[in-house]
Amino acid sequence: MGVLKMRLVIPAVAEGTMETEVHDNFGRATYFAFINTDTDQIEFVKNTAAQKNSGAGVGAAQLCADQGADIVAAYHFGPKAYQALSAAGIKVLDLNEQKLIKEVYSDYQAGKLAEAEAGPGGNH
Amino acid sequence: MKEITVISGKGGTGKTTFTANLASILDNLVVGDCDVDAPNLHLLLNPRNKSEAVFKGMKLAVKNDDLCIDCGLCYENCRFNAITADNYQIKNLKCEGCAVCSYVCPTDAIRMEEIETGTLYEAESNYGEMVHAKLIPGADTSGKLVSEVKNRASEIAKTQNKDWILIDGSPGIGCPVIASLTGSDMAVLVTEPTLSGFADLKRVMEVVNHFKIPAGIVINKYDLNEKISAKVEAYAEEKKIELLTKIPYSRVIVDSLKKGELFVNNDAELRTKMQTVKEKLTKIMER
Amino acid sequence: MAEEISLSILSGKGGTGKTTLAVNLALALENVQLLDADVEEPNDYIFISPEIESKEFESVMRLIPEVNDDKCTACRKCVDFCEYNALAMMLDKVLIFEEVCHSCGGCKIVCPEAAITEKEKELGKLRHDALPNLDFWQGELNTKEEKAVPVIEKLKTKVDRDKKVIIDSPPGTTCPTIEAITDTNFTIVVTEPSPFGLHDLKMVIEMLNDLEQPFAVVINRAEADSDYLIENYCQEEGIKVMLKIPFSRQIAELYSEGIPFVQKLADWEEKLQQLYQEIREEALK
Repeated sequence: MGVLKMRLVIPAVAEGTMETEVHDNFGRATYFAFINTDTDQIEFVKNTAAQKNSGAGVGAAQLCADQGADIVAAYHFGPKAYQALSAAGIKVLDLNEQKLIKEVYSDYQAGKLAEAEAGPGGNH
Repeated sequence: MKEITVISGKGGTGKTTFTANLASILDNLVVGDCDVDAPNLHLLLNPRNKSEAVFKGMKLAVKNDDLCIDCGLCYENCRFNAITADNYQIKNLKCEGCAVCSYVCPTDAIRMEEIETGTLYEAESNYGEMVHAKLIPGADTSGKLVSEVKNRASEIAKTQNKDWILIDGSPGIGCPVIASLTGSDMAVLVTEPTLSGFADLKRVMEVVNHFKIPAGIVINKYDLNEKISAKVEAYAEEKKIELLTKIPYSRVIVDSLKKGELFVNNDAELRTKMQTVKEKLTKIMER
Repeated sequence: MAEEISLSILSGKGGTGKTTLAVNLALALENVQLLDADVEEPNDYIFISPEIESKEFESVMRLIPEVNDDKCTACRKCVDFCEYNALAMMLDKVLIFEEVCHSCGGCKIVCPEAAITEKEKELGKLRHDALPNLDFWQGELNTKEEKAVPVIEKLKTKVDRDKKVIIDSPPGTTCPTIEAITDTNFTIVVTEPSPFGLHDLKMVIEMLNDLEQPFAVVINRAEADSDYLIENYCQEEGIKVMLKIPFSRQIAELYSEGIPFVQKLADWEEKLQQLYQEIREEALK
């Protein structure tokens, strides 16, 4: 297995650092933290998808895909977000107790994050 | 910190009354009123508003008559009957902000403008911090304003280290209910022993089931129809929904409501019932 | 000249007594049509036609975009145009999210390759039961669908102006409510004598005044010690309170079983007929 440069995305409550808190929602997160798993570099992208009235999850998924996400780890994915991310070939991981971005990252590196299942209403 | 969302499916089952009384029993909490169409929680919790923020929930088409050449393309392409046939004026109440008219207009006479569709309030009450909001008439309820209320409540809970976030959810079964439940740790369903109430309970449970969170049920006015009440209990047991309490059809509750008072302050037995609910919720959340 | 009117029944919140009034009023009258426009959670059938699910229905359709992948060049114009996030572009393929699509047709219009066409999808259903004295129509929105207005628009095409028409409207002040009451001669607002009832009544009245819709009030669960909450306000504003249905355990129990109280409580048939006459007089002024 070669070393692939992966972009790991985590929803964040603000634009910050590894110490920033994880947002408890994917579609309506304020920012997304993009971590380059090769270099440990982190950058933040504003979630403009949250502006729209509906389909925030879809817009957020589009944003992640456009910004080159490979993996997204979040607390809650709606069925549309899940569908959109999967269609883009982006891996979707579940969070459970992690509060800060750095906790998510270290759990990810330790292989502790499980794959998410389709979210609410996922039978269409 | 645990988030509990109270929903009902059918309106009028006592959801808001229950939520307000529960709020007074729980300690260290922040309350969010996500029933943004017809918010009532403030009538019982009497919050003092500290700040308000304008909510811009949708776009509307706005026309500059000077640029209009009466070609009628906007009218032909509008799917929502939002443009008048005679002089191509925009009917704001019908406009859904899709921007098709703006796109097809050959003279750029129509532009899309974000409009204020509601207000978000942060407030303080005797029972804790409270976030509530109000949509203007004709504005469509969206998940967005509900999400804003929840986000603010969440932020307050985090900064002030609250133990509970209590959400008075939207009625019905659509997008606002889903937004009310997103990110919650538990759903509490307040229902009544009537055929219509039972039918709506089952429909809203379909929505709750997708969230894979524990659910609890409160049967309000249970002695109004003990036969149906028993059916609701059997249904709850079958679906592994915890029966949190059964509240009788009570004069005290009606009178308390009319005076804008909490029934837990007016009746020791009812207070004890709500204490039991708190204990059960705490236990379920500890699992 | 017996001109029949159309009446809409409304409340600020669900559970106030809208269905109670609509159903019992319809059963007290002759040559009447009842349309349940509360399409998200129609309940009238429980009292009027419990077996309505077994009746035939008419579909209400809406248009959903469909992308021809062969013609699509992944230019993203459709994705960028959609105001509702109903489209996404993943790995150069367009994904469509039907529930949030508003059927505006915009994506089809902006596509430079004519790669988008539209297909029909069922949005909701209209059901019908023609009883001897009462013509009953129910509109229902399919679960997972959000757009109630087109279903209500279709339901309204069934209105028969030769009959006394009663439309049970969705509660609140959003677009579906406005659609249900528009084109009716008169609106009755049902409320209850409590701070909640008064608050929601004021909210609804603001909307009715904006729409210039004539209306009057009916107090449900009326009680001597608290009716003043509503009556005082109505008096100040010059609003008529046309009827008070008392707080009655018996009425509540009958409701819980799906039994319309007008069938069990003798004098109510006449009271409701009188109510209708009063409404008709006001409406025809």
